[in-house]
This record gives sequence, structure tokens and C-alpha cells, in this order.
Amino acid sequence: MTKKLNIYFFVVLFWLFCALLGILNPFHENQIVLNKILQEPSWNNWCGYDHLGRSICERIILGAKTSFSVAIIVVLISFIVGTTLGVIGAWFGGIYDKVLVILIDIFIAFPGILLAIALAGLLGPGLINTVIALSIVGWVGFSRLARVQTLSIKNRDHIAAAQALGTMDYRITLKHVLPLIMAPLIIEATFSVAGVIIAEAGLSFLGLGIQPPVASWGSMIKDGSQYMLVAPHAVLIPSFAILSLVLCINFLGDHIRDMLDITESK
Amino acid sequence: MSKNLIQIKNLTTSVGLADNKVNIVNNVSFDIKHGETFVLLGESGSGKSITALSIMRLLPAAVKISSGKVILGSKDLFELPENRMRKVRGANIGMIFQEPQTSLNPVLTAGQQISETLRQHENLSKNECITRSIELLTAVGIPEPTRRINEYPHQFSGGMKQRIMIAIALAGKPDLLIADEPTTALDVTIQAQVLDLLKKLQSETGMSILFITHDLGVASKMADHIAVMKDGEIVETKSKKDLFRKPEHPYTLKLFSAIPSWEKRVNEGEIESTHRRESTLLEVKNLKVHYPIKKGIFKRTIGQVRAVDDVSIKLHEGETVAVVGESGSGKTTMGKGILQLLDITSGDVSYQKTNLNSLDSHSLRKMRTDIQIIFQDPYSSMNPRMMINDIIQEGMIAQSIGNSQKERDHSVITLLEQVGLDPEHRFRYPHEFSGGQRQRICIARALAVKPKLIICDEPTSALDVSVQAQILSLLKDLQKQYKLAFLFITHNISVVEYIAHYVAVMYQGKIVEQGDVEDVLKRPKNSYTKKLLSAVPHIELNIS
Repeated sequence: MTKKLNIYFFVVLFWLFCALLGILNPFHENQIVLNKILQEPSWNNWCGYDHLGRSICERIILGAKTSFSVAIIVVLISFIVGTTLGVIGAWFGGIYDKVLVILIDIFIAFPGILLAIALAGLLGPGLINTVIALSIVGWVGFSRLARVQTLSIKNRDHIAAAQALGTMDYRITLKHVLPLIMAPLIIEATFSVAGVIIAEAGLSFLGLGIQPPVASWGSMIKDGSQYMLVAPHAVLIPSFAILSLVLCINFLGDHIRDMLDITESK
Repeated sequence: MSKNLIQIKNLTTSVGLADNKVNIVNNVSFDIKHGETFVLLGESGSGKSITALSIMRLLPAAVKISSGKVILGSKDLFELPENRMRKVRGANIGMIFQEPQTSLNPVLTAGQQISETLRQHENLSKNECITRSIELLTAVGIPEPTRRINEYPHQFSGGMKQRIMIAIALAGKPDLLIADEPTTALDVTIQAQVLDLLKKLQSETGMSILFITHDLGVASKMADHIAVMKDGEIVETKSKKDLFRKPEHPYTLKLFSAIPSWEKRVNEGEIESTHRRESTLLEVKNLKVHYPIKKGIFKRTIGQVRAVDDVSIKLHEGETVAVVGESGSGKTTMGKGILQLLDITSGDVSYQKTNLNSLDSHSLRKMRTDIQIIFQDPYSSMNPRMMINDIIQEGMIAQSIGNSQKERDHSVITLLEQVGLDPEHRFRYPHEFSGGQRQRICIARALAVKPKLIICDEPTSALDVSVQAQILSLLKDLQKQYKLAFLFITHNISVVEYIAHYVAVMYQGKIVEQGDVEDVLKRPKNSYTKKLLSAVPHIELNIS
């Protein structure tokens, strides 16, 4: 089990490293080399060149940066907003809870990606707007999870004891509720990162996400798809990047879930 | 009558691999004669259930039988191949378990579950199965068996489910019935019915019973022979008479001396006249907690669940008032209602002349120092992610007791010493402590805010009898030291005998009888109290 974990872990770590490299940005990813247009991968350049003669390798590394920054920011915002609302709704009950449940139901009724497309269309394309659109879709999952988890531990004796001691509500939620519901939320967050990476790629593929010339895996697939038959590498390489990263994050999430389960049962 | 039905010889059952093997059952031998009840008595973790499961060869995967023999008739059960062992289960040995809720399949009717065993062991047609099932249900005392045979487990009460379990176990006409704590999850009046039923069935069928229990009262009611188990070993095997007259092993003696009772209380030199009822601390008047039953799409209220119905009770400084009742009688709801942890429907709770239910949240928060609560389950009553030190300090921080961190740390040390724990352990987490130790920590947490009244909600029900004795004596000592008052919620009559000054008996949300402990327990007036008291299995202890 540990061995498998290492493989997933190292793949994710590799892409994270690429993202960090992307932040340092020693590349000329937008430099056009006309005589290398659609050149296939070779020993000199492992990933080949795209339809404008830009190095796919460099663009993949910068695409990792885009993917990770969007995913991490979106998941952070969703996590904080969703958990706060969920815990408040479940803890105070009554009207707070009713409003929250109605909101969650409305958001869940829409297919997530379609809602994000509509929002991105409304807000207009761009990095910030992509983050906003995906966060508006993303908080619901955390909120729903935090709400049911809080409800399930709300009647535990140690919480009654804290109330009997006169502990304030904010202190009970911070000390008694949040630490106990954190494990499933962290697992949800890992899966969420994978989901957001796909969603961002999807939006960019449709031209609603990250705008050229900024590198994004989604838009790279979009550009490459027009030359699919003559130069399949321009599509396959970014596709493989998305596949490997999302797959490994999901496996990693599974393992985190199993690990946390074992400690719970002990 | 005198011949051995089954012989267990040097049974050793262990867990773990060869290099670090731990014997859970160690060299256990006993014989069960035809038609007798053999009781395995022991506290949790003593290996009683594993012994029973070893006989059935139904051990969990990690546990292995390492040596020994189980001889039933002429066969050694450990040498039978699995397919023949399957015939033995049910036909020769039947088994019933502690928790009837989880032992029955919720998606099959009672009749289907009984027929399943019947078809395994007898070649019966469908109609014969139904007739037999109805006979069995009649035998275990289910009213209207022809109708109820088609009902599902959730339509039966806990006691009824245990009766169905017994019917299933008896379907294969076993010679030996293994009953693993069959009444532990049941109320005392239901327990009495199930025990009587087992005795009646035993005299009708002539089967033997291997009865596993931790309850000395139940053991004394059921047993012909008793084996006392401790740490996987049988320390003493005797006939019931001999064991209760002259127990020899120090562990047996310790068990007997741990039983709370009236005699123990008198022996400890407590004379009940020393207790004077003066200075009322808490007065509950006409307390009602009702829950609406809502139905339909418009959620109209169609009725009320009267969890607590018109309860009035008084508590004085330094006294213990016991609230006795079976599960669902509203004891816990009353306790939480007094603490204002749930909304009460009507009535008054006044503490030293202050009406608690009309206070605003700020003043109520200040008042909370005076009334504290201890819970039944020592596992869920502490936050598993907080250290003992933080758990005990929680109340001090909430009530701003102690000016500095240093002062609070110092109080934690004093409190831990008071409840008999090593203060060195204050930076540990709850899971590192045993059930009894956790209950001590909960007591320390309550004491930290210097309360005058502690509501004890079944504080010893989850504990073994020897640990219970320690906790009870700790509570008594603290009561003397601080003039604490206890509202002691329990279903255990012997605990009431030992600790209470005043008793209230609750039934279906109402207090049906209240008075001084001696009056109520020795001269009960109400018919329910009489029924409850007569259901308690009595221990015939004649140690001279």
C-alpha cells in the first residue's frame, strides 16, 4: 500500500514541481519558431511543437502552474465558505438551516459544469472570472458535507457537557465541532482539486477560461484538436498531463481516506 | 441428569502470530451436564464470549484455537470437517446473542428467519415450516403468532426480538443453548420475563444452557453451576450454592464485595438518619417536555410525545436523589430539561429561588457553574481531539475561573489528584484511558467549576461492577467533602440502594412514586414500583 502511495504521491509531486518551476518562469513559452511548426517529439525536444511553433514542453509546465493555481484557490475559497455556512446552518438550525438547505438544493439541481459555463459566459473569460465561477459551483459540496457531519456529532455528550459548562457557541464550534468533521472535509478537498482541474481545462477548452496567450492544458487541447490528424502529439501530450494528474490525485484521495479511516477505528 | 452433555478440555484460544501470541482464553476446562444451566461469569474482556464462540467454531478470523478439545457426545468438535460442524450448529448447539437488534435480519419476516433454520435441519414442507414456526413463536410467548409471523423485526420490541432469537435457536431442537448476555440490552422487567422464559423452555425440553453474563444477580437466578472467569482463565468453578456461600478465590470475593447494596452501605457505617433535608437547592415544578408528532405534507401536529409529563421534585443540599426508571421513561430528558440543555414545554426549574427557564442566555451561562452533568458513555462524553488538560480547563475558561494559565494548570493537577488519577497524565488524550478512568476525568471536568449539584446520568452503567464500586465510592467521598448534591439517574436498583437518600420512580414520563429510599424500596406503594422491584434478580449472598 505504501509503495503504491509513493507512485501516486510522486506523480502529483512532479506536477507540483512543474507548477513551481512555472512560477519562476525561465521560459520563452510564447516564442514562435516558424520552421518547427507542428514538429513531432524528438530527442532534442521531447514534446514537440504546436501549430504556432511554440514548445509544448514549456507550455505544459506553465499549464501545470495555471491548473494548480486555479484549483488551489478555488478549493480554498470553497472549503472556507462552504464549511462555515454548513457548520453555522447545522449548529444554529431553524431559519439558517432552512435557507442553507434551499440554497444547496438549488445549486445541486444545476449540473455543476453547465452552471460554471453559464457564469463564465456572464462574467466573461479570464483567470479571475474562472476562479469566481468555479468557486460559486464548488462551495456546495463542502457545505452539504459539513452540515451533515455537524448534525451527526451535534448531540454528542461532550458537546452537551461543554454547553453545560457555559462555553460560548463559537468556542464549541471551533474546538468541538470543526476538529471532528475535518477528516471527511480534507478528503472532499482532495477530490475537489481533481474536479476543479478538469473543470478549468473544460472551460479553457471551450474558450471561456484562461485566455491566450497564457498557457493552459485545456486551451492547448483546443488548439491541437484542429491538427489532430497531422500532429496528434499536440493533443495527446496535454491530455496525458490532465489524465495522469487527475487520476493520481483521486488515488491519493482514496488513500488519505483509508488512512484516516484506520486512525478513526483505532 | 447427571451425565455430561459437553466437555470442554484445556481450551486455549489466542490472537496474533506465533512470535507474539496472546492467549485470550487460557486452558479453560468445564463440563455441562444434561438439563443444567452453566454460567460463565466475568467482567468485560475476561474471555467469556470467545470461549462460547470457540465451542461453536465461529471465531473472528484473527482469533485461532490453539489447543484443547470440545467433546459433545462422542465427537470432538474441533476435529469435525466444516460441513459436519455446520450440522452441529443449530441441531446440537443453538446460540443467542446480546443485541437482538443486530442479530435479526431486518428485511426478512420473523417466520422466514425461523423457517430458514427449520429447513436446514429438518426435511419439512413449506406449510409444515409455517406450522412449526407458529408453534415456536407460541412457545416463546409471542401473542397472536399467526399474525405476527409475517411481521418484520422493526415491528417487534427489544424483548420480543430476543424471544424471536430464542425461537430461531430452538428451531433445530438443540441439546445445548449458548446464551451470550441475552438480557444485557433489555430493561429489568423484560429481562425477568426472558429469564423466566428460558427456565420454562429448559424444563420443557430438557436442554442445557451455557449462560454468559457479567451480572451476579442474573447468574444467581439462572445458574446450577458457575465458573468465574478472569483474564481468560477460570479462577473458580462451583455449584451456585457453594459459590455464594463460601467463595474462595480472592477475585470472586472482590467481585462480591463490589456489588452495591443496602448491606454494603450499612457495613460502611453510613446511618441514614445523619442525612437531614434542609435548605432546598433545586425545585422542579410541573416540568413538561413534549415533542410534537408531525405528519403529512403540511407538517400538521397530530399529537404529542410526552417525554416528561408533569414532574415535580425537590433536591436539598448535600443529598443524593435517585431517579429510577426503564429506558424511555424520560429520566435523561428530565435531567437535560433541568440543565436547560433542551427547551422545556412548561413548568418551572428554580435553583436557589432563581428561575432558570426565564433567565436570559448571559445570566444562565453564569449560573451554569452551579449545576453540572456527568454522562453514561465515557467514550463520547469527551472530545477525542482534546487533551485531558484542555478538557478539564474548558469550564474554567468558559466561566473565567482562575486568573492565569498557571493558576488553572495548578487546579487541573489538584482536581486530577482528587479523582484518583496521576496528574502526570494530563497531557494525554482520552483514548489512552480506560472506561473507569475516563469517568473520573468527566467528574474532574464537572468539579472544575465548583458546582453544588451534579446530574449523574447513568454514570456507571457502561462500567464493570468492580470499576462501578470505585466510581460510586469516589462520588460519595466528594459528596461529603463538598456537600455536593447529586441527581442520580439510573436503572440499577442496587446502585440506588447503595447511594441514594431519596428516590423518584419514573414511568412513561411521570414520577409514579417518590420518597425516602428505605420507604420506597422496602415498602413500595405503587404497582409499577412493585413490579420493577420484583423483577430485579436477587443475589442470595450469605457470606458469614
